[in-house]
Amino acid sequence: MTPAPGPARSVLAEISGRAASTLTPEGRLADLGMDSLGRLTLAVLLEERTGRPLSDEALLKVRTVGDLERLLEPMRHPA
Amino acid sequence: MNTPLSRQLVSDPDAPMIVASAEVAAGAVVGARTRIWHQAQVDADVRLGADCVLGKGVHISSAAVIGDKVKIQNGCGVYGAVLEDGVLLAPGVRLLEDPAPRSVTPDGHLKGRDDWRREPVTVRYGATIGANAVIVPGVTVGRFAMVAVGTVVGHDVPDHGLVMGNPARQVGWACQCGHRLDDILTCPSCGRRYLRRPHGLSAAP
Repeated sequence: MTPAPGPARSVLAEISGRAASTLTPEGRLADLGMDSLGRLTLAVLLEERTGRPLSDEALLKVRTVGDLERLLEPMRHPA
Repeated sequence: MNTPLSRQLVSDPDAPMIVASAEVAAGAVVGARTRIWHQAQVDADVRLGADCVLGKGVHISSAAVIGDKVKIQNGCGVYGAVLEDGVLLAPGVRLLEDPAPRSVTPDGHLKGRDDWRREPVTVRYGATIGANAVIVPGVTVGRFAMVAVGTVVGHDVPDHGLVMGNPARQVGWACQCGHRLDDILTCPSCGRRYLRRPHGLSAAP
């Protein structure tokens, strides 16, 4: 059974209109059609879903699906 | 060179163009070749640079200082701001300056000219403020920053920063030519490259 996608892939899938199962860690957000408005939507949806703020500075460094998953990892497994 | 309106010569090819329905106070300083269109209002203590364009219904007051080649489009309100050269304010932009706005003082009197503290906005060289954006008092918008349509900006924007939303969030970087930079800070339109600096981005040498 395939595990449920994490918040990064599920939100990216929702915004890009692609199936979460087709998203790879190496996939670039720009190749998913994420423009500036998409980036804003991403930030807002992720904060709503995770209940945690995400800094603009951290999100600006995100280029790939994997980058976003790593950014959110401490939220899923708090120390 | 800026020339007080009272000393302008109609025959001067560099004289500002001010349409009859505009209200430009006699004490205002208006730079060469600046054009001021219908129903615009410019207060006496305002300084406007050369080659500017003020659209219909623009209101500029409270000792605002405007550089050269600045475009302020229809219906903008510029209250005390400092706009460096090459700034664009799209239609309906509001630059505010009173951080504690009230009509009356705590003892109930109508506030006068000296009953409030000015915290004007600064918009640095070449920046663009999108239509109907609101910039709150005291904010500095960096060089060549791009503020998207309808944004409410409550914090400083770095040089070349691209911000949008309410409250504003930085979602990328903008090139000098106006296009959004890609992941490696290169413009897909003109090819300019940029480097990260403490205050935002600078053009790569």
